[in-house]
Amino acid sequence: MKLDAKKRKAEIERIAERVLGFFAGKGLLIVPWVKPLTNIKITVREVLLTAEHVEPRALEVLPAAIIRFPRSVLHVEELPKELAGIVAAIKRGDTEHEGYLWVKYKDIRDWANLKLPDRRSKPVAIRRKMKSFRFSPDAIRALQKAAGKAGVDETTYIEGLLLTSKVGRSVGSH
Amino acid sequence: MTAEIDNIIGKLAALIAEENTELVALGGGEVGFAEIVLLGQFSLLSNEATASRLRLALTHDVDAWVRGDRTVTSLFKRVLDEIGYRFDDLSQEIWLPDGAQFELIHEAKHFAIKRVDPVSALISKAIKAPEKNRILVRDALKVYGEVLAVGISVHGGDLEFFEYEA
Repeated sequence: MKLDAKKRKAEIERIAERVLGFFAGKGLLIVPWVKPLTNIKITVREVLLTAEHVEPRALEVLPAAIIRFPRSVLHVEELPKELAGIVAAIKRGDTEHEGYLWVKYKDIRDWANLKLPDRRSKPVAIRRKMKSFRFSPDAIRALQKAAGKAGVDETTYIEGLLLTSKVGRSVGSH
Repeated sequence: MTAEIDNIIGKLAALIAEENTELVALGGGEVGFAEIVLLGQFSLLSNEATASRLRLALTHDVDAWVRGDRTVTSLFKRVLDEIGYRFDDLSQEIWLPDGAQFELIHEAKHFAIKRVDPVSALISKAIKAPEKNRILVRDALKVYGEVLAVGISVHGGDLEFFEYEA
């Protein structure tokens, strides 16, 4: 093996140990042969390199890492467009989407919803989302009064009404 | 990973004991028996000898054939879910080569856990999911040599894809 090829191989190994160490540290992969790392940042290019040369499963959990640890995965603009589409689909909550190479969309999505040891990171499926509505002044007053009477904030009151209604229960059960 | 298997066994035994207590209190009989056969990456990682020779990585997916009592089966899935794994419901469709061997890891009154031998697990990966397992199988061929190469070849696998040189 030529010296340049040896150097390149050693460089890829070093990158792969960081990337897989990060995934192991965050609980996305179980990799007994690397040291788990939690306080590092990785780049999309490093993950793609790792997937190509050392561990293809890095590709399977990359979207989950981008969604769950957005500040730790850098240069997301370098994501292949199909994977970017998958990240967007998971964030939208799509149940169906095209997979990527050998990876099924369902699997990629499941890892984004995995219970992880890092409790600061919430599964996409239970993350709260911002929604805005326009209510009449009377409805707002009624909501404030009802929520105050129930001793909860207005969001919790509306959620309670929705999820205990017949329609809410049928949607929630799916 | 051996500790993880012990954890699964311990939790499953505890849940079965709870279930049996309830069933008996209600005048019924105890749960039946189920056999759990670990397959795929989980079987390789749970095997210390294999895990020390190959660089393995695992998503939180568990592939296993589970046959027998339905309650024990559902309790096994519950244990996996509680400790952060996902039972792959398509596991029953996993193909293994003829002659695959199964090693008994644990046997109790209500369940037994076995795992497939590493060479059969690797042949299955090479035939059914070559892209996902290209690097693993390439490296495994350096460890298991001809036994694995012949197994892949007779089942129609492409040894060149795994950069194998006899």
